[in-house]
Amino acid sequence: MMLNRLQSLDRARTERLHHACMEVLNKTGVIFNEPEALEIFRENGFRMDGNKVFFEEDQVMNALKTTPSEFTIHARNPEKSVRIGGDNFVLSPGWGAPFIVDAAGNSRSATMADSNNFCKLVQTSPHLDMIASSMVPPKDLDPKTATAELLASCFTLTDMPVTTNPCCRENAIETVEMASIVWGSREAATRGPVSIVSINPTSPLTYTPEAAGGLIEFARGGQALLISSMVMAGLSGPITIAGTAVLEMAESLAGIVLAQLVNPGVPCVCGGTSCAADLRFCSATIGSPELIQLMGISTQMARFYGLPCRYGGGLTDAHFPDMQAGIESTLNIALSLASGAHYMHQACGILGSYTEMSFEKFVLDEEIGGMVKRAIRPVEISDETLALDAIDRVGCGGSFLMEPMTAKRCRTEFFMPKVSVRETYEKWESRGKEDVTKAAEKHVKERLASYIKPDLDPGIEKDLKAYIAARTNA
Amino acid sequence: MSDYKELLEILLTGDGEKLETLVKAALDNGAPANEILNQGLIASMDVVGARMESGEMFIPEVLMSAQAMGGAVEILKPLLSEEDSAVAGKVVLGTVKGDLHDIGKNLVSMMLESAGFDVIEMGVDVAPEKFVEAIKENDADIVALSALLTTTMPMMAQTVKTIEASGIRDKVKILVGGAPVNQTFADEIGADGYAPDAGSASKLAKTLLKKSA
Repeated sequence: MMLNRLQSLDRARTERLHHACMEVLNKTGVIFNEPEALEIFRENGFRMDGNKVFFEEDQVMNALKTTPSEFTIHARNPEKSVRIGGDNFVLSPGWGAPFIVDAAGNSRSATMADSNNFCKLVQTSPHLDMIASSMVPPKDLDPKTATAELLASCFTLTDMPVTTNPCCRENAIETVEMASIVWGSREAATRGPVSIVSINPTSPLTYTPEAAGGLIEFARGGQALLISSMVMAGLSGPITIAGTAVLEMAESLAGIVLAQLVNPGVPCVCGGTSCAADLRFCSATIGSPELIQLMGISTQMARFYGLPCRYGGGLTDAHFPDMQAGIESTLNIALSLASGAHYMHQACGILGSYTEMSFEKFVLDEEIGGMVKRAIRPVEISDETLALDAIDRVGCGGSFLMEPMTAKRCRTEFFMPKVSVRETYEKWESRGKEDVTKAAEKHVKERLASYIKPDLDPGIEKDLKAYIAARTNA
Repeated sequence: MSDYKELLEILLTGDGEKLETLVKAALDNGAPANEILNQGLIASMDVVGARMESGEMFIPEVLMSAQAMGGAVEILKPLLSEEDSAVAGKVVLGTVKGDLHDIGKNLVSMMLESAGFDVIEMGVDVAPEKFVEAIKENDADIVALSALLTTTMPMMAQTVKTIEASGIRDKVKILVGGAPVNQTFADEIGADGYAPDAGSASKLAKTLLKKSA
């Protein structure tokens, strides 16, 4: 009997998908528009035709042998280091949205102040596990120093492990150099990863110079790599879910092979955020049930390959934190975590198919994440939690409200929402029938007011500033 | 003037063979080629554009219609005088430097061509200077910039600046589009227009040229 109806692949169908991936990699091949990548494949005896690389099954399997199935990303505060893979998963915030939709539903370009406020929300979050650089790439920054400034805020405003800036060679070098300042030496920053980067092949089957060059440099610097595609079925992938799933996995595996050739053992996460295209508009549909189907396949294939998997998030196509946004984000977060996704990039704040972020949605998604984390946490079964003494003492009828254990655990045993309403109608009415977005708006203010900057050696902060200044003058 | 209702029906189904048969029959019946083109094909394609915008027609269906139209236009071309085939305007179109995405841009190209524009297709990863060269070389009325990545949006602003610096800003209208782009962004970088989809892009192109004429 199937316990999780999203995990519907049996052994035969899993192997059929695997063989399909191998056929794509072997017969169709993958383009790498990056000279060093091509050189690495050539040196390692891969079959090639110009900038197209073809993979034999054993070449892929050899790479998987050196890819860890779980790993740690170290945080500036060692207590906040995270483990990804196996039974461990993390939530990382929304990322890469250039616009802010405010509580009134108006859209504007993001600023550095917005970006820093998101950092503060993450640092005060009870549920997020990672900070991300470029959550909202601000328009008011000098392009020469933008990524360095964003990364510096992650290191100074939070003490959490980092999802770093968009992938390209310069960002890889910058991430390692800045992490070396924070950790005291390059050796310390590259011993085990202190960041993870999102590397995105351009579907179908192409690595841009940015994606491939960044991949090589991040791998060389010992940083963790998320190699994930956003294949849109019907547009950049075949219109069938099975075909799109194969394309996504093949693209991910091709990148993992390259990473393992550069630095055997470097942590890699597979997966994606593929979805159906809405073929009325040729747009992505990240709140669609097809994304969930693709997630179901991807998480199972990741287990087959022994790889950590990225999927899901607070994903929606809605432009306001309304019920559509709530439905789509909850489905995505809950089902992905229940299905075994390990790294949830984009867990909080996203609106409009990745183009917008909302402070209010950020804390609402965070609450969903907290609820799901609690819901899927294995229930402790012990003499104490079975509470047979109490059951017997109260007997048939009666109440447990007066039990000492109830008083002892009443503040800690259950999930306590920060935003959701649980009061009576009369109380809610007396507060002006406040809707959840309004409540979230208030909560954001409280959270920002409660923020305390984590301790950091002033010398490190000075060195980071000097690093940015050197970029300005470069 | 002939009745082009059937032509519209066929174009909507995207059946190229039937459309060509119909166009040949119209020519045999004495309809002028320029009338078939303007009142038949282009007018029908406007209906396709409107249905695409409203979501009644799906994009793959629109593509089938556009392909069918392209075949029919080939039959008419040799019969059109130079004046008849005068284009609605010249558009230089490309994805900005650093961005390799072209699905949306290609749709815009197709809709512009179907609306009678001459499209100078620059492809992807196009440097600002290349846009300027193409505008000058082709004496273009419009330059249309596409970007999908949030990281390449600043390159749109850079391209607008380069066009301004080259002294041809007043000769050309600048259109921008792509998933992360919106009207606010278009205004901020000093573009003349933003279109959220391919159907409205061709409408906007027509409106802009009317205004400046």
